[in-house]
Amino acid sequence: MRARSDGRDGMRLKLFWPLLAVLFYFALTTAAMAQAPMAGSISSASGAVQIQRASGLIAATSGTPVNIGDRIITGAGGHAVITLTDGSQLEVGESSNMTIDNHVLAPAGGRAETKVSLFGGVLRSVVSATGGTPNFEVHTPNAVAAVRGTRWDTAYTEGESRPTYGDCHKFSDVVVYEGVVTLRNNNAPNGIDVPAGYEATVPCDVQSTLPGPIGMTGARGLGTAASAVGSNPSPVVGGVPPPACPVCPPMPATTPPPLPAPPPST
Amino acid sequence: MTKVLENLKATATTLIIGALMIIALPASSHAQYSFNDLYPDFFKIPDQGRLTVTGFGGGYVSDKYATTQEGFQLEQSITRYVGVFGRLTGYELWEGGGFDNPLNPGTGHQARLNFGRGQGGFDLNIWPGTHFFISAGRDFGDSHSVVVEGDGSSWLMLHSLHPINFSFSSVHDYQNGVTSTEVDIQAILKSTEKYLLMAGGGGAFYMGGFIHGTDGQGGPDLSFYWRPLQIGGSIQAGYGSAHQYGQLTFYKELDINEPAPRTAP
Repeated sequence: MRARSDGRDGMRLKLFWPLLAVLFYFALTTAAMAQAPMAGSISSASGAVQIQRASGLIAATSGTPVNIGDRIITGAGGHAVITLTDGSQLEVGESSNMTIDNHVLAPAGGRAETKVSLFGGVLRSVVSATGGTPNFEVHTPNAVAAVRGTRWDTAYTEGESRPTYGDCHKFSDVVVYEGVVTLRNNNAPNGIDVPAGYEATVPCDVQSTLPGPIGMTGARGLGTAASAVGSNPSPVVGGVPPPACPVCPPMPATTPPPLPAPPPST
Repeated sequence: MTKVLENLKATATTLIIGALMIIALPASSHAQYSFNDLYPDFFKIPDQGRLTVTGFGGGYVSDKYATTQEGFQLEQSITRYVGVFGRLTGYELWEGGGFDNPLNPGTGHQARLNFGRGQGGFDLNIWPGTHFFISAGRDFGDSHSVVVEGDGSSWLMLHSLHPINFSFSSVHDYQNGVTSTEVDIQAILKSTEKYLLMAGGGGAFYMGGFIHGTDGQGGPDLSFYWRPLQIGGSIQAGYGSAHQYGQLTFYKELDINEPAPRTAP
């Protein structure tokens, strides 16, 4: 009996340490996940792309997890695509700086809330259409773009001048490709709906401009130069008028040209 | 001498009217802005320039004559507000039976005339969305004229769902003394990620030289612009001095952003 008891104790002792290790591992990972839940991962990265988190600065490569609270920084020529856990995608342009502030999935797997902050550069958001009405916001230092659509660019620039904006040197631009984005200044209670095919700008601390067609108001999107004064299309260039003379004088068919006058006789 | 003065007067009048319209229309909506508001960094040459290549072509057909034209334009930005451009255009002109050479009246009827036009000048971005092109050049081939040209394009109410474009193009031919001016006004009907659709009306008028008074034509037009390929086109039909006519133009733009200069590490 005693021998059997000793055997059980030995077995318990053998199981104790692995069990403790497993529990310790789960405790650690759970604590880590509670601090920074995973929002998604890097789908592709090229050029200088880094993730800044509490543990330090790490280089981002394809497959690198992205947690809530992470700051994604791209350098000149850098470009990254982040796929969130609900299937939405964030495409970060060069020289950009953004954080994922919140990304909570609804119990059914749909999206409950996503909040992203853009501190500089350009960000294209492709919001997953599944999971009900999107609650997806991109914040910049002077504007909030709340989506009711699925694909749009947000850009934030500081220190540049734009015609007709006076002394204002910071601009949040939104370019909408699909759906509708409500754009408002941080201090404004209501926003302006920007439909697909249009763009709008929040200059400094004033309300958003009315939307204008893409590429024509000087707003910046992914792949377009900052502060370009849009003028496309340009009907004049190439619209060369036909040569002059819509109605040419009829030829004098029966009247011969006058003969030169004879030289004066001397 | 009198004819030369008349030509110059007609050219100047056309260009001035066009320029005033281009300036006055947007100016009314920008009256509250100062020079610095409208032209920040006016004299600053940007680090990164832009070369824009535009290929274009089109045709015009009427009861009395027909033309086709094709060419390309190179424009180099200097500042945000000023660019310099050069344009080379080839023209083919088919005359109706019994008509004199319109390029050089008095030299008789020719079934077809071929000529080219080389010109160069400046593109002035005088208001946001408003460009004014001034250029001069010379014809070669069946025409030997010196030409001056003024073109303008202005987008009004840019921050709206349906902006309106007013454009004009006026060219004076010093060989036949005719000033040809084309005007057009269109509104954007629909804007999407991929395309723009516009509709409006326009036409051309001709005066000076062998034309007594003013001739012209006009009608409705429809335009499109396909953003991904930067291709645009316009179709117009109407009636005028040359009776029924139809006109088609298209163009393709290519923007080349020049690399910014490298900075020392």
